[in-house]
Amino acid sequence: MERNQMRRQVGLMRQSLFTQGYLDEQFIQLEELQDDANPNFVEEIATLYYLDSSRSLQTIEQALEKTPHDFSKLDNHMHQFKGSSSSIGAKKVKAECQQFREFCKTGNGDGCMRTFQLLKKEHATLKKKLEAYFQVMIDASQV
Amino acid sequence: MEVMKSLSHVADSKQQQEQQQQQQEQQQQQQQQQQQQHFHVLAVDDSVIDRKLLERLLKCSSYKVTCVDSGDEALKYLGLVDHDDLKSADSSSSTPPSPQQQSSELEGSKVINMIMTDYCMPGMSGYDLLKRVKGSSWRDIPVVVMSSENVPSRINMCLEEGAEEFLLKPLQISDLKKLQPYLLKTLDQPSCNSSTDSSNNLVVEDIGDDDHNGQSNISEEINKGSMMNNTNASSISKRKAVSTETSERIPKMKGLVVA
Repeated sequence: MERNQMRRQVGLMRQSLFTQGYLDEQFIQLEELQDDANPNFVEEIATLYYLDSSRSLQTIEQALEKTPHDFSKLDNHMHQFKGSSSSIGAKKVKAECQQFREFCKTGNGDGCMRTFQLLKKEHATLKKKLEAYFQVMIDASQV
Repeated sequence: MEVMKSLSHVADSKQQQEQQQQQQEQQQQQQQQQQQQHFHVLAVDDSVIDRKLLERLLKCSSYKVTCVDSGDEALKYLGLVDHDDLKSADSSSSTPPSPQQQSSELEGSKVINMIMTDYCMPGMSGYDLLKRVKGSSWRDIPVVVMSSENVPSRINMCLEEGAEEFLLKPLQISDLKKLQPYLLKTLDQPSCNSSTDSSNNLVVEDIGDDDHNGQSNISEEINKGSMMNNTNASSISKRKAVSTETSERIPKMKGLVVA
């Protein structure tokens, strides 16, 4: 009984990640690449993303502190960051990246900084949600 | 009586022939599947996430993968770095290969069946890498360029430089299926006897005497499924000449089924 309950919980959590817009269909691609031979692929790539992207965020933060802003450089960094976020299906994060790039194009430093804060928030929220989701999956598999 | 005997004899030998043919086909199919499993793709991307994704995508299709993180590393791997550069850079390979390389083989060592490269990379871009490869003895290897940005001029530029495909990131399983025809094509290339026509397409001579009508199906599906512009459409029909003889023996060309 408990196993079924836990599985249902996993399913619900997963569903809400999509319906609430945190993840897009690219995440489903990742799930489809997971198999018995590579049972932890999704978690692995998500972990790798958070390691890599945290570093990128630091770089961008430092670049934002330098004035006048080098928008071309900022845009470059964000292009890369957007790419990784897109590859794992991080929908909201990707949207903030896009907004940031728009502000870079128009040379709007304030816009960039505001968006960057929102981006960090989305990045952190997704991380928490994914961690919780992976944990529930592990728990469910152990019942 | 005699006639009956000879008739049944004919029937028997025909059956034998069919059986033999079936066996042969099975063997060839197995061989091709094995060969397919040994397709080796060189993946070039500066993003660690994208490398991991690409690696998984390719391995899922049973290809062997080597990932490098830059165009320079790719050139080193292909042995296209100048002697002088080799001295200063630390390279794991020993001596560069001799200039006379065949379509996908290196004398006695590396076999690459396809190169997949990101477009936007610091230092050497995917386009630069494409140019270097197409200007080298590795020119016959299909090169696929990937980018997260859908810029038509960029796409055309790459296709004109000889890229076989331009894929939009993030890559999906269905994108890999588009690549199967290019890899299967490399199976049919004899190691010599190949020449390139003016638009940098491989034209293979002495393929086979049989005229297979099934070939047209495959090229049509390539057209439907890929992101190619018009200039490449003509080169697709040139690829018709490349024998798909052996591919027909594979019962399920799942990579070519276009939804």
